[in-house]
Amino acid sequence: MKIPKDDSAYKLLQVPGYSRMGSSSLPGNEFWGTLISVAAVGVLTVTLFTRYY
Amino acid sequence: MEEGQVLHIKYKDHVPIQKRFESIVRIIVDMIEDGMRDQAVRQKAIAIVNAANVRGHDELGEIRAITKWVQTHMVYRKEPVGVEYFHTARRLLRDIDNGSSAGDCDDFVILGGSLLGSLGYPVGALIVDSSGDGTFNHVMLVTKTFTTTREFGDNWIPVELIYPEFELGQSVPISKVYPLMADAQAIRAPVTRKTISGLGNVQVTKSLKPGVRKKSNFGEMLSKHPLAKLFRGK
Repeated sequence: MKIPKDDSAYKLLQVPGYSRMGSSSLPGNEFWGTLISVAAVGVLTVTLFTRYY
Repeated sequence: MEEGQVLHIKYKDHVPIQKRFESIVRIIVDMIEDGMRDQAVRQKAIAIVNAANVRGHDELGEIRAITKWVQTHMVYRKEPVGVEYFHTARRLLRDIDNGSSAGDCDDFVILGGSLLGSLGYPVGALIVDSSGDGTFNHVMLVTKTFTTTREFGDNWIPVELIYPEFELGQSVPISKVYPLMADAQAIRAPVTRKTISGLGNVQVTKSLKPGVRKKSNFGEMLSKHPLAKLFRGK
């Protein structure tokens, strides 16, 4: 039996929504990790500054 | 990872085929991630592309060599109705060496994805609807080159592994696809160390969005951070 074949899966993968698939983007957990880390450093800096100066 | 690992999942009768495939694809991707980090798998991948006389930087040549090797060395065998077996990439390679290769489409994707992933290519599982009734019923591999090629540009390339006569980009007629990409940097215990005893214990994501899954151990990382100890007064 001959198995039918075409390029339909290939064509379906060419829609724009899949173009950035697999590449990491900042607005995810990394975004919140960076934001919270920066905020933590800021709070620590202010705390130490007001305590020792 | 130990050799000879096989996951065995039995689905209850009422679990719809769509749900089964959603859970299956997640396990496949986890096992690809485990396989691509396995040094034995990488050694095999290098041996395959070297044996095919693929030159360095020939990305399509490497992808073709791995694809052809999996297509021609693994043996397709169906599984019992309602039961899914998943083999680690190392186990699949060992079975091929022993002449006892047997796997269905998800095992082909685990092996092909692990081999290509170990050579640095982005890989993922592509669940597809090949029956035209809107239900996912088959799994293919998806990958791409880093450099733009004349044949595929910088597009994602679906890879049908269970039929040796299929070239890169070819598939059976497909009406719907859902890709889930493997993340080489995912940090977690190997799948074979987890306990999976049925769909109830298999993690299934309800909203399916393409892309790399985000796995974060941020909370644990934050609690161990020196600043956190300072805040706790230690």
